[in-house]
Amino acid sequence: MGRAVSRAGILAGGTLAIAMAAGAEAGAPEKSADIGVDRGAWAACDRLDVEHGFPAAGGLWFETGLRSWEALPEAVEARLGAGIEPRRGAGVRAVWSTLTIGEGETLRDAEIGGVLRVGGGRVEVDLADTRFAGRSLRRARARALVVLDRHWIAGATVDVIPEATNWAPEVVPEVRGRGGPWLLAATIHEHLELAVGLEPRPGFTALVRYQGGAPTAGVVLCLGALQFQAEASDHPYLGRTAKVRLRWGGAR
Amino acid sequence: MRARCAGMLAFIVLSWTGEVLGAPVVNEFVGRPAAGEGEWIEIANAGSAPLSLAGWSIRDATGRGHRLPPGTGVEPGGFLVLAARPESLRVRYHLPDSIAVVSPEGWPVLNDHDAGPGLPADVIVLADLAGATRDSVAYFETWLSPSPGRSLERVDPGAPGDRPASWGWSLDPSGATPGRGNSLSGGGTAGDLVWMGPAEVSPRRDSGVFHYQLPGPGLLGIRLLDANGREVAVLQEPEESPARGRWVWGPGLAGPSRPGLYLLCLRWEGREGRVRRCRPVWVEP
Repeated sequence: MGRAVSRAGILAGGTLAIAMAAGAEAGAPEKSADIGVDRGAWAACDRLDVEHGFPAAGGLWFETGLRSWEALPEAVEARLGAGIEPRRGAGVRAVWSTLTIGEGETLRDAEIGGVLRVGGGRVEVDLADTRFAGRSLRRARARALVVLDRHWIAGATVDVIPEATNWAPEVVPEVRGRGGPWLLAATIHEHLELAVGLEPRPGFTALVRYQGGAPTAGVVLCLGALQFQAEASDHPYLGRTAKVRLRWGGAR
Repeated sequence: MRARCAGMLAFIVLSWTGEVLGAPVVNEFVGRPAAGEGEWIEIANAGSAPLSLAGWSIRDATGRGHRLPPGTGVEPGGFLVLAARPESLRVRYHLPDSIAVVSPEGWPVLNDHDAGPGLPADVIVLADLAGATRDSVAYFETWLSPSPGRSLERVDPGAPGDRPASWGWSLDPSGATPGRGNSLSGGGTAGDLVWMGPAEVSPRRDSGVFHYQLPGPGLLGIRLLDANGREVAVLQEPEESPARGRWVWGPGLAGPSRPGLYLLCLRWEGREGRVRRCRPVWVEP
């Protein structure tokens, strides 16, 4: 199953890369590699990643989000975040999320971190604490992204759990790009995960993603400093899932 | 009729003599009661003879015994309910007078939080006239349902009481079955979708027991996922399963290598259609 997914993903990725190159040739000149500009490949880092997306650099931002699963009928995950992310230099971020489960249990997750935008890259380091049913778990996450050229950004995320002595840190490489109206994101967890976006007009992006054995469809709407993102999927085990995120701030 | 009279006679004689036959077990209890319900403990007579429990006692981890009143007894295959608040229990579960509900002298307040790392939340001990332990269960916080009022049932009166695999949350729609057979003991009855079990599992160290109730017999597959739907482990390939049963996640099965919260999900397909249900589980590898 995983091998079949990977082959399909590689084929789709190759086809899209050619399409992106063609689109970029025909399109207007872009400053996609500019730090802090929410166009170019940086847009693919955010709009195709509702889980760990980040705003265009440029100042203060706030965000909130909700997620639900059909197979967890009374569970809702709520997320609240805020931060400052300058165009160059250091910033801070904090995210608080809760997963309320119908039987009275609640998962609480607090995450604080720092961001550094320098040269052609962005580095983010987060420390988090998760609590559920009397248990707690601390973890650290580092994500580094480097601009390769005007179309492509590559990087990796490393997760570390200090208390998990028998578990090796997990490294998830990623590559994201943009050509014309097309956005692409590929991450390699255990299997290849692909996301493709199309921005036919400024401020509106439609996306599809293949993650966790299920296709996901979504849209991203940008209205000035306000960004609305919604995704939905039909997972073989989780059933219909929905995720929405509302963010204000950052540069537009 | 004659057999019933003989049984009653034996019960009266045994009550008078204080002699004990049969095997009493702690069969069900609520350590986290609903508002106004009060804690209760069900004793089952798994033996073949009537049983007098007059003068027996129930005690908790403090070791202080609470004596059962005179005349207390239970017939073979029958149940006795010990309750902190008998009347509220009768009202909540519509218990007829034929079901014995008694209140001991005082009540051993059952704790629902572990006494410390690796220590059980509390112990329920059923002691005979001489003070000897006849049955006991030391339970941990994670054994209890987070839903107040949902009882912890013994899957079978013969199951060893000290094993987590012997206990599970009641599948009954009312949340418990005081005075009657446990919902986990019955098999093959279809009904509302239920997927229950402990909130925390350490599959490499101990077994976690999960109970399901499906719309009917069919193919049942079980997966462990992260919150984003990524597959972490295939715990059971789709296989024919009855409408109601239990599934044990133990050392022989796969699990994640990192601790954390996961979604334990079942997918069932049968003549009645398809259902999917998940429950969050904290996994300690």
